[in-house]
Amino acid sequence: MSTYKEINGTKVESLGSDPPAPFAGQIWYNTSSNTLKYFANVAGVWATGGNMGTAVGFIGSAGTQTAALSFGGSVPPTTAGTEEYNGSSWTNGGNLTTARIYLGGAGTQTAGLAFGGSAPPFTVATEEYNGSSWTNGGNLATARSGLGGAGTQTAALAFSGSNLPPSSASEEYDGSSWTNGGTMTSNRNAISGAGTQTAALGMGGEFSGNPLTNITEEYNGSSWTNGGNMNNPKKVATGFGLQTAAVSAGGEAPGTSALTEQYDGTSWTNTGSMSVAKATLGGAGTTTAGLAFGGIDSSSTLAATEEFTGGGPATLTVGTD
Amino acid sequence: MAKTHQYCVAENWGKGFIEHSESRKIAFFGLPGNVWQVPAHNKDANLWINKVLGTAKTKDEAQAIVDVEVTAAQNSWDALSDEQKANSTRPADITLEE
Repeated sequence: MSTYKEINGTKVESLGSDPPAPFAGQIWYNTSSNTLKYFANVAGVWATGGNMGTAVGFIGSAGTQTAALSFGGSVPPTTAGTEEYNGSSWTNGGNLTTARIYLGGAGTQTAGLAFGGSAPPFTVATEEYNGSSWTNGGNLATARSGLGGAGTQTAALAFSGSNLPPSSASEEYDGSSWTNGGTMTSNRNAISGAGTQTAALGMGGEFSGNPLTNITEEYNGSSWTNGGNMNNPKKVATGFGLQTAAVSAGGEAPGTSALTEQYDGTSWTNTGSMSVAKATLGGAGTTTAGLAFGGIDSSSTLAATEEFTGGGPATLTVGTD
Repeated sequence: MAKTHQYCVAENWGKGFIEHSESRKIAFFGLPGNVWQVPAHNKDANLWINKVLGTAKTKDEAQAIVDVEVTAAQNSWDALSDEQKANSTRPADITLEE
């Protein structure tokens, strides 16, 4: 059997502390901890977070991993309920004025935005959250459900969705009213979104007739262009992060999926899967600290929360990591 | 054929049920009925089952639990109105692997 030195031309270094700038593939022995360590790229991973108070799918969502917001959805029945996550547990917030499913979301836990969805019927209603209660905002021009959302409460983007048939339209919100934005390159429903009003990302979904798609589109504030295709076509997934650093998790591919992919602005890479396959879930946060919650698995609505820690270069210990 | 997976029943209590460090080492697959599939013959998976006080199940026992949950969900879905069905997909059967 070949030795490490025969393969690499050098022995494993013995160091009193971990090197400050290790390179990918570097191996060393840490004489302080008496551990063999190496530096490598690791996949993102999920861990369980606190369970929601109510199991719910088809939800709207906003916020960060430690300050997330879930609103609306179906228990069943359709609910107006809102829950707030603090990084470890969920508590009830103020109810939406209009109970609905399949709605869009944007913003933060203390400045959230809910728009569209199906009450039923499809609705144009927009509501703004201040951390404790919802008030009505300006109505969407086009009622639709299964739409994507991005941005903040005062600079949001709504796109795609279905008002039978699927839509390619996007609308921009300025904190009081919606105006028409650029038209997407394809008509889709059950899409997921991430990013900001001027740098948004639309991911996956389904075309008319229900074929799934892996198409990604990028918005620059005025027009949409195609980005890299996801590895897996899917709909009713959740998306979070930025246009250049996004995550797509779960969805139907078809059948509920636990698959997770990360986008770097150009291409998608598969990373660690969630512990439970689920669709119509909510999401929040970033590629380094994300959150997925609620949704439906193969049989019922879920209260489970999963917390995502993004992958990347890391120092690992042989025999431990 | 060598067993690839093992099954247990454990209720997900939330934070700490699955840690990031465990997720790096163990391929978890959660199923209806609080059934969890993890690798067989795996020390880390065994430690996790002990931690969550999981009740070990054979593949057939786990399959029976999953089947009950899926059948109930399919019956509920079949009873929905056409409008409600349009917003969801009928729960599919799940076949567990040895």
